[in-house]
Amino acid sequence: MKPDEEQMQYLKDYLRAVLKYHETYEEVYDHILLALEERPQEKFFASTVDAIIMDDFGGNNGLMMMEENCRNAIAGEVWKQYWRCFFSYLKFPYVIYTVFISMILGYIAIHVRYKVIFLSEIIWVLSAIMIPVLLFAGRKFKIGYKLDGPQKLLKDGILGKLVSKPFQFIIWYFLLSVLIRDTQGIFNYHLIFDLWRYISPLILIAVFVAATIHCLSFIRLIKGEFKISIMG
Amino acid sequence: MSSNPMLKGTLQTIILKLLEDNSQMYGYEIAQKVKEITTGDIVLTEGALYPALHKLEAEGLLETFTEIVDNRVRKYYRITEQGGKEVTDKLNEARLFVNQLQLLLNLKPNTI
Repeated sequence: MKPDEEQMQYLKDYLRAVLKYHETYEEVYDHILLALEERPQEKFFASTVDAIIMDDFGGNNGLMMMEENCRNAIAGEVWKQYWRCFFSYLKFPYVIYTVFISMILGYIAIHVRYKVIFLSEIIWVLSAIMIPVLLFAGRKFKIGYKLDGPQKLLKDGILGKLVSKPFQFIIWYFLLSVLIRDTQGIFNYHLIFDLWRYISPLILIAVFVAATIHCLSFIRLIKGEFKISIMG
Repeated sequence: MSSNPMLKGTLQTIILKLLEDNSQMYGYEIAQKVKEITTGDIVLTEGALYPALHKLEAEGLLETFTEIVDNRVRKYYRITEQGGKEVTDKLNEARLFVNQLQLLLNLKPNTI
């Protein structure tokens, strides 16, 4: 059977109510329309759609489970790829960049004790954390605004997690700073710098380098996303 | 996984082999092709097919492109260079497994 405009709209609304992610929505919509072509015209369109969903996906629950499985499969793979990129900076040839960055940051952290320099290192770390956030937002804007149907993409969850984790680290750092100051009963704007005194320069360098590698890994991970062109 | 539980674990091999032979296919077409080749004896459930396709795509073994067909988006999958190498390995693994199974269960191909 060939559905009319009203029936197609019914199907779109139905799937929008069940499915959360754009990729699965588009594939299932096309799948059901193809399956409908092989079915004879029936009195009730809704029951034909239900029958296809039951036969092919095991009903609405099966449809939702299929979507979750797609999301989990992608999340697992993106997670692996991110860490593969991250650890590649500890191996040749990328380790050359890591050593170079470590030397610059290390020199600043060990030899230069001026607050201005510390501030510039903090800006470096914040930039390294913010660039992935901006790329994530840019990707959503570039791909998302064109979408008809659900706006969420299967990779959104895992990429969101990757950009938010370093922020959580920064929040913990600030909380720790406050806690240290509070035990002394003093609180002032030097708060951020005071913690540096308690931390070994090696740990500081490790944090700076990790933030930088995180940024570079995320850029490598996401660059292909900007090549995606969803038509329609 | 599919209507035949013995196929569990070979879904990726089936998908990669089909895409190696057919250059580009969409999800529904893959399911129909399996049904057609096996004259309906093996039915891939879509609940397993689509997650497997997305996983293979994320692994870089498949790539996708979309086309507008009858005012809707159709997502096609095709094998990448890396996927081409992987299919050879997976087919060798499958061949070895079938041979071992024949030895273990004392099966003769012409009697199945």
